[in-house]
Amino acid sequence: MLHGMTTTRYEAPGTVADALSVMAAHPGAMILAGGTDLLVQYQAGLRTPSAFIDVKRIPELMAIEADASGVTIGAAVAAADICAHPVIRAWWPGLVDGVQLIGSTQIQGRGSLGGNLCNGSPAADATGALIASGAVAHIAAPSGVRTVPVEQFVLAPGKTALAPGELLVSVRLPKPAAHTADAYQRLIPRTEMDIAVASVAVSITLDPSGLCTAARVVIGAVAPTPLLVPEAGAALAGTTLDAAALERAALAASAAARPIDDKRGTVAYRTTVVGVLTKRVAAIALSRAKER
Amino acid sequence: MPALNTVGHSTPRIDAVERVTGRAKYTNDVQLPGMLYAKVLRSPHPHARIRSIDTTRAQALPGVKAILTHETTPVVWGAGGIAGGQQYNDEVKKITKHRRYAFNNPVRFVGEPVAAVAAENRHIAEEALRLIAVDYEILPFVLEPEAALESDAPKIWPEGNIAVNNRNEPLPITQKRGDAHAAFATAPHVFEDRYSTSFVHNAQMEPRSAVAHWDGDKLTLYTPTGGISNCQHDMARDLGIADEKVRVVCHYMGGNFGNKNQNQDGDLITAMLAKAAGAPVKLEFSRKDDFIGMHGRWPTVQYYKVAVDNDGTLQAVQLRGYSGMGPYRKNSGAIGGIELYRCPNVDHVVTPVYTNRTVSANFRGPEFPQGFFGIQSMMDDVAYKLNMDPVEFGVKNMSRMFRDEVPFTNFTLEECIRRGAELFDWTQRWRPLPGADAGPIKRGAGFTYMLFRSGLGMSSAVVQVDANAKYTLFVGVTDVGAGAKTTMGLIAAEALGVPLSQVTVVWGDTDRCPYSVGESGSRTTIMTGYAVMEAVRDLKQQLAEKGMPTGSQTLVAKASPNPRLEGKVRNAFGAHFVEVEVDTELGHVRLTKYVAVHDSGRIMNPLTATSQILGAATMGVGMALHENLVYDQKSGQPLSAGFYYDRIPTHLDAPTVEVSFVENDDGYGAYGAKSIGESGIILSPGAINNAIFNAIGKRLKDLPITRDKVLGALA
Repeated sequence: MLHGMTTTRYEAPGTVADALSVMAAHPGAMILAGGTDLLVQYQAGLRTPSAFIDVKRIPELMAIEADASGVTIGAAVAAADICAHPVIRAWWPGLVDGVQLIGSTQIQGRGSLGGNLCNGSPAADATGALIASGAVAHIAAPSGVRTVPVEQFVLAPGKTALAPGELLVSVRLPKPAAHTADAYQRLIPRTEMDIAVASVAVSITLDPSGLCTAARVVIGAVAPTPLLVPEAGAALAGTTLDAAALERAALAASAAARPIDDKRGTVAYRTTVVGVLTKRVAAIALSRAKER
Repeated sequence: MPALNTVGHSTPRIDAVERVTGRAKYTNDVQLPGMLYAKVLRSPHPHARIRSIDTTRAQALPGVKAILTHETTPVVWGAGGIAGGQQYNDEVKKITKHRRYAFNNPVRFVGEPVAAVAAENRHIAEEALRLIAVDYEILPFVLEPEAALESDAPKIWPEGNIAVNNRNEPLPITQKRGDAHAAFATAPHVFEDRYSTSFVHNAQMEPRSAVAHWDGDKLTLYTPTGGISNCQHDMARDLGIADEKVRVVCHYMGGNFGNKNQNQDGDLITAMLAKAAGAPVKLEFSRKDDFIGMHGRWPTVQYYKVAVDNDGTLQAVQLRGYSGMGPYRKNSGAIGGIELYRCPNVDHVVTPVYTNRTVSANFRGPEFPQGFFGIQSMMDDVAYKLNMDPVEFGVKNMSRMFRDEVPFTNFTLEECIRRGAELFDWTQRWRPLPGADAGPIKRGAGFTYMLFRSGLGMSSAVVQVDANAKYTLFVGVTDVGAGAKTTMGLIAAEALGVPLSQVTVVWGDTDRCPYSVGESGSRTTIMTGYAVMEAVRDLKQQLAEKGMPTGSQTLVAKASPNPRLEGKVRNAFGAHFVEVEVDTELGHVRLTKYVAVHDSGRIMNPLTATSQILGAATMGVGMALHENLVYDQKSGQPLSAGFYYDRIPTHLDAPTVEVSFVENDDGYGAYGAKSIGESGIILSPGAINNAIFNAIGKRLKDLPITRDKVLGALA
């Protein structure tokens, strides 16, 4: 329902500081980046913000900055720009795996990384890979900037670590160690343009002999939040990712899953396939890491 | 079959440029001076009695011009055929106990119209809906047809939950031959199984919309309709006015698939709002309104019992079927498929049942995709159990005469199957041992065949020529997507012996065009196309007698032929062959090869015909693997309305379909054309299921075959 009898303000601040003051002045406001979720939900009457605060005019939120120790991605940067960025493509192919699955080509031209994260969805396609690669979120608050690991950012479906009046500015990914690579896959009911029923992101680091020295396994859409599963990572670390190790990781992932039954998938199905995906995604990460 | 000059050559649609450049004017592009906007308040409950409805606050809202409810507007909405195609006519309207109004009390499904508002803009109309206070007495509800037949099930109508026919009789649809019971007692092999299909929505691109405008006592209705003549007649009947007091206009529309035949309640509501407000009114459904407020395909439960001899000859087929109709019987609820088999003993009983779900009615081959899925899966299974190749079992047992007694005008089913098997390379792709691949990705092949009505019937056309040898064809067709305007032009050009560019086609307006049968039942090309040929024949005779007109004169010819078939049945035939790849760890099914062979008589326009098969097969993929209007069993709320939640196929879900036509001219219809629009969808769900069985060795029995069901079968 559109609210014909009420009005909704539109603000477009040019700096983070201005954005914070506009947010303080409009407690019922919502941040507008690509709008690919928010505007649709607004049109459907599911969201009724008192104001839209468009953050696309704030330079920090629109930039990708690569340096020797990592890359910082502005929260409002569109999916298409992330997928096209040469350093991101080279260092985090698993992040690109996930980001390029968000919506359609048109959606990717607008939909932002920050929006994907701030939706607080357990099924968000970018979040798993960010967690697997140890990304941190930079959050601007009236009291200053704070940093939160992405695995602590999503608290519950639709709920994030952002306090009222706080703004996600960017996400920082540390440069991967040598022989490190990531991968991401999801399972959806149809073949494209759908939301994950189960997803897995894996990042692994090998030593020069090919032995896995560290692994992070993240499962999505099978719990209220994306879950970093240390047991699955531990099952891979110290192995060559042989079949037995992959099987142990799969069991750990399935054991950690706490899915719900809904119209898109059952508990039993989600629990099973998150294990299968763990094996497959770890194998992809392994082959990528070997090429490094 | 000798080739023709115009008909049979691939021809782009005459309105393609208008459509792709946005110049084509669809119903919701129509803007009239002083036009109001309508919104419909819909029931949030699956079953409830309206104790009271208070519109005082809504009436008082500035800008609100009219409000209709069941109290103000007790108008019967009569569209639909309630028993096997018998139309809801004045007589039925008078006697039926299960009368359906534009606004009903009690309301019997979530989404049923409760009130409608016309206001100066849509925001005011929406606000007005919020100000209407409805006091509901919640009633118990039932969603599934079998549950609705339990003795303690909530009664949706006082007479019970078996849908009545137009004589108020709660009778099932039956077909009997021989003695199936005796055959089951003596046959060496008897097999039984249960199959089910889900409610799938027509999901045409354009949601329902309507613009109504009264000029004195004459209504003009702009509406997307698959039949301007039927819509006109239905509107006149429901409004109690003469047919000529209704003008229906539909120049462009975005798909039909059976969802836009006749008049819909939105048409009626818009017309009544326009009358009440004294101004033109536009109504546009949201996608959700369209999913739950319009009908879809009836879900079914099918219990088969099949008797076979040792050599694989079919001895008896029994079906006990149940169809979920929603709370109003808008179509028959039949389950097709028995007619596919030659069989001495048949016992077919299908019960249409009322449920508290969105209404079920016409959707591309109304009773066939669900029935063919059931019986063709069942027979495929029987073939494997007898260690027979399903193709050989099919050829051995397929019907060669209609109901084993009436000959077809031509019979090419075996040719369709043999050609399909060859193009598909069946002997290489089919696994004699199902599930034999090592995995985890397994391949398999399946097939189904079909026969489908292509009957003749009455329609009309007018053709005119002026002194400049410019021909104008007036046909009451609309283009639901199958290219009727172009096809009618092609037929006229062929019959006249002139290029298509010399023929102007006028369509989609009851004030300008003669009666046409309507774009349903895959019959426009056969029936209206034949009327075009007859009108041209008349015109040519006039031309021979009088010569070309001169000055401002024109020659006009009209034909309304009503050809009949004596002692024969006319059918289209076809066979689909599908190869799938099943990921046995994830349950993902991917179509890796798809061959479709069809006898649709002479093909008028290969370009359009091929895309009809491709589109229909893709729709069948959605029905097979994804689509289901899921209801919450506790609350009776629909959960998956809309293109996204219902998992309508995307481009990546659409298979590459290799289409081949077995062409012929049996001497009927327009140049031998037979039906095509519905044929493609009715084969694919069964073919896909049979291919999945061949790949994994497990038989799936309930549509849609979602990934969790595939994994469940493998567990």
